[in-house]
Amino acid sequence: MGLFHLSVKSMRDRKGISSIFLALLFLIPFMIFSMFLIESRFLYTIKNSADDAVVAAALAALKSTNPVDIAYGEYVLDPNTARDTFYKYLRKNMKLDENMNPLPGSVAAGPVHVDEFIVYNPGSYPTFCPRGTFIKNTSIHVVISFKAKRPALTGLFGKYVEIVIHRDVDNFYNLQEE
Amino acid sequence: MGSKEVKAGGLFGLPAALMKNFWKKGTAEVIAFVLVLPFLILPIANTVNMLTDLVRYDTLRQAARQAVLRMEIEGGLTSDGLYSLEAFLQSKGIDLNKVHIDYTPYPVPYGEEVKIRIAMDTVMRRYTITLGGIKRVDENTQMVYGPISSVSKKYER
Repeated sequence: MGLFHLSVKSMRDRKGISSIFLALLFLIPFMIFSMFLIESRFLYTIKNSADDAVVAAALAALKSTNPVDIAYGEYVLDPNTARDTFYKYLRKNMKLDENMNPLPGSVAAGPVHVDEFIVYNPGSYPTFCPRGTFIKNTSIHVVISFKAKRPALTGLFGKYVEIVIHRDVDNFYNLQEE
Repeated sequence: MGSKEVKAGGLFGLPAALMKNFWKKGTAEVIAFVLVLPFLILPIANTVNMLTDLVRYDTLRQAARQAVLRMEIEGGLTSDGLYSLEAFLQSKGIDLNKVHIDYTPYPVPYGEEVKIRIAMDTVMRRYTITLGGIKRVDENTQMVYGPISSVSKKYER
């Protein structure tokens, strides 16, 4: 009984309550900061994974029909073949179906859009790509966009985050002396 | 002095006297802090563990990226490429016994597919609050990156 009375008296005197409030005041922003740290790292990893997928697909699309030409640097790509190859490997690398919708295990949370796809063949360079990169070799300019699911802080920033990836990929090969 | 007080309070005087001392100024704050402490420790511990997992996954991703770029140039993963890949993983503190690498071996002719997939057995550690206090939950799982594919550009006459 003595303990109970003292506890009640202590509560009435608000001993400890201020500590709890202080701790909570510290705890809430701290938890939000922790979630922000994890979320930003997670989204950064998703973006890098998609970037790998785009680079690997664009390198695949740089496959020339005449492999000897590639060694001399100036080779010509068929834009339609390059586009088909790029889509094929992008689907594989990002785990997408035929309509570019995500399959289980994909980093995308919605359809992946190829916003820009330009093949630069000899004669069309030197130039700048629409986003300002200097093109000086046979290259492929790609911009893709997709939505990724936000793991936390959905109430603050929304459920999805839009990720845009821009890459200009070329091969740089020269004949090597044996 | 103390013995006199005990005598005056009788048998039940001792706990009351102890309680009075116990509930002196500042004790309630300490108890409140101890009660809230798990809630402070939990986000720190879980944040550290989650970030560690993400960093480890990113290491696998970096290794796979380097490997696929090399495979594209060299026409598949050579023994030298595999050695470099394993050395990179080891330098990042990853136990190679827990890593499984599926790859297209060298040589791959020009225009044919090369791919790599890296998987690692890992334990994901999280902390939760139960009635008994903070509880550690270990989950055995496998981190997988890939398969990531490209095309071989290795041309040989």
